[in-house]
Amino acid sequence: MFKALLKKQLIELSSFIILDRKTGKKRTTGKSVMYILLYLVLFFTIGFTFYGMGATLAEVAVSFDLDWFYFAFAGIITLMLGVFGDVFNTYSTVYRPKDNDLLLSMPIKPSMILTVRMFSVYLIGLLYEAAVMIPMSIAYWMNAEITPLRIILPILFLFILNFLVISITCVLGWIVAIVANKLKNKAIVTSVMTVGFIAIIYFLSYQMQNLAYTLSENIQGISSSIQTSVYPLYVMGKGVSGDIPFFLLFTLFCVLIAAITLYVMSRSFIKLATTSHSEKKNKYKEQTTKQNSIQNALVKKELLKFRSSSAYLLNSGLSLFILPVLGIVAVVMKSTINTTLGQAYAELPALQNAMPVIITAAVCLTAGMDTIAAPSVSLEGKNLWILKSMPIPTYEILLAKQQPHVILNSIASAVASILLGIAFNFDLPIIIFMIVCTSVFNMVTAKICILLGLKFAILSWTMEAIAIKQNIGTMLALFAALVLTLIIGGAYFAVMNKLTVNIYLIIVIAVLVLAARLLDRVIKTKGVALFNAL
Amino acid sequence: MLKIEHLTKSYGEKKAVDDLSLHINQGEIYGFIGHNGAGKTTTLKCIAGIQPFDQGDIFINGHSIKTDPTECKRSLAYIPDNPDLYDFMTGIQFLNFVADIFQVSVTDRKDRIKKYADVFSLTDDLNQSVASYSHGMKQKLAIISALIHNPVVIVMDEPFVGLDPKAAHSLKLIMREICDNGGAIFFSTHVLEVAEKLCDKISIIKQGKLIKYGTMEEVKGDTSLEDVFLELES
Repeated sequence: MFKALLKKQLIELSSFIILDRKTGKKRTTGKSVMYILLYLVLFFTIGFTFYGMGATLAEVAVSFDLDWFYFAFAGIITLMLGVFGDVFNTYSTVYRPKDNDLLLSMPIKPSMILTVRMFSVYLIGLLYEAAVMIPMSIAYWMNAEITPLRIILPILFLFILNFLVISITCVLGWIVAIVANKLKNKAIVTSVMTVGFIAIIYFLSYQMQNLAYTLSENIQGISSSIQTSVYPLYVMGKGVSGDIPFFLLFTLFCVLIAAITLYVMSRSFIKLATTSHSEKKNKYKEQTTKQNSIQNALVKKELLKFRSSSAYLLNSGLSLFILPVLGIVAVVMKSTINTTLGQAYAELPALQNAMPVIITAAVCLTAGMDTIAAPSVSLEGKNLWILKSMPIPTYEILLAKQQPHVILNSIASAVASILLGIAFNFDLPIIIFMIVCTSVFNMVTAKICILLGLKFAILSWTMEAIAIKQNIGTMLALFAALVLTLIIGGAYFAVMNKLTVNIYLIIVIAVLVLAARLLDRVIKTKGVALFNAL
Repeated sequence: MLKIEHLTKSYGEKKAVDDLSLHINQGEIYGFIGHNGAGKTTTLKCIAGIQPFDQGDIFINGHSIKTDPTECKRSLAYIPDNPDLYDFMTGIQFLNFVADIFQVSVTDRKDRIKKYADVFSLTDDLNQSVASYSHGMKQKLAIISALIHNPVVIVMDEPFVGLDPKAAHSLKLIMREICDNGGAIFFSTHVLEVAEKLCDKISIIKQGKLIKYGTMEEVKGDTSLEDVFLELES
């Protein structure tokens, strides 16, 4: 029975490579191999970053005979990435799988179902952690004297640390499940929580880098203070660097924590797995309503959809959070920015003239990462009949689908432009040009998004994330926005001796308006035809 | 009111609807029966303007769905077999959305929401999100949203599935009321007893082709509709 359950779980786990989520059919071997290669490229790209970070630190740590500190540092980063990567997987695998009812109705012990699910969580966690720990171990081996123990222990550590990771993700996944059940504006709160979580991870990573720098300055002082104040970290680092008793102690700690977690969860698994999502009943009372125009009603509907889904908010609208934060950070760091820029301008005077264009391109680049309009057609899914059966010209529907993209991105871009303009001491006309330029840019990207979203629409999805993330249209829209930004930023350097920044920005705005009008024509003809054929 | 002329729709090699012609007049409740996969849903989707078709045309109130789809849809309401509605809206948000699209005045929409939500015992639940609705509640909401703009022609695909007996009874009364007031209803069903009692006319479809149609008496004669249907299907 356990074998059958495990087989089911492994099929489910590998389905993202074997099965085409659009059609539900099996992919060809060639396509599956392509997907594996794609994931390997991603794995190596992430790994290369951590190798770079590890190489710098390993050299210093090994030279000061503080190998334990290196592994403490590597362990913390591995733990953070493992938890971050695996927490939502834990939530969906352990707390919200679709087949809980089916399995619970079968003669299988709940603890067995949980164990199999935890195994799946363990494997995914291992993948995330390997992306950090393997390159950081290689970086260590390149700098330290290699012994069999120094090779075996970091690899073993990866498997042992994972017990701690899954214990933490189970607790966090449980919190996510409770929050998801209780909250009214789930999507927004989940998105804010995720962005906050990313910010914390970045902050901690930043602090880690600072720590590495400080280490080289005052290595013995720092290490002794860590040894005394964060003793578990010392035990972990010391163990992986070759101290067997410490390694065993750390192993015992991780296994014990995992065993307690598994025990507690298996005791309450049925309750956890069958908790209903029922919301508190709020009896309807007649309210004052006002009649909206058709276009307003459609736009309101699109906005409602956008704010109701955390997957949509985070994957297609992350820059709405990033842009204002970018502006605020720039204003806070205004003096540092201007001091640094003053020195740069002295050496490279042309940079001063180019700065408004560079900043405009930076805002466009960030806004271009938002692809709100791209998955909006796919997200209609089984609901497409509603719009298609309504007396609305198709162009109106497509226009409404562009509006949240244009409105929200333009507001975020305008806030960022104003704040960045203040931080970089730009003149008012430049700030106004920046606002107009980024707004028109958002109009163009919205139209590109809608066309690509129509061309590569996926309507038969089973999970919203497929329509949002695994959509070629979205990926191409991201690429198009990147190319457009590079053209906006790059073309200036070709004409900077002939045009002032103001004139250049006016030309960019004019070209973007023209592009928007041309794309609009394509939407009116080909876009409408594509929608009608869906 | 609803004219289907030589409608043909294929999915690849397979003809789902084959040269189907049918006229539904004012005041008629027209039943549409056939086995699973006979082409009922495809026909109804073509009428509602959801599905493009290969040949023929459909006219609603004299307007062609091919050349003037928006005008056709203004006087039409469609209720699908599976009420997939916007999960991210509450019941009342969905009804107001539909009312906005059909430009129903505030007074009219209030009156109709109150009338039909009371009839289908859904009033208390209108503030709940559609995601929390049962299949039957979604079906009720789909029916109310279809009636909110006072349509002249209603196309329904298995409208009684999921409804409780009281709601099913209410729907039958509403269907008759609409037709008595000059409307027309074309609906598919597998419940032959309902079709026999409710319909003025009936049509039977088999492998995309209309094999029998006419008034209830013309189709069933002295036997029951079930007997006729089973004989034609054999």
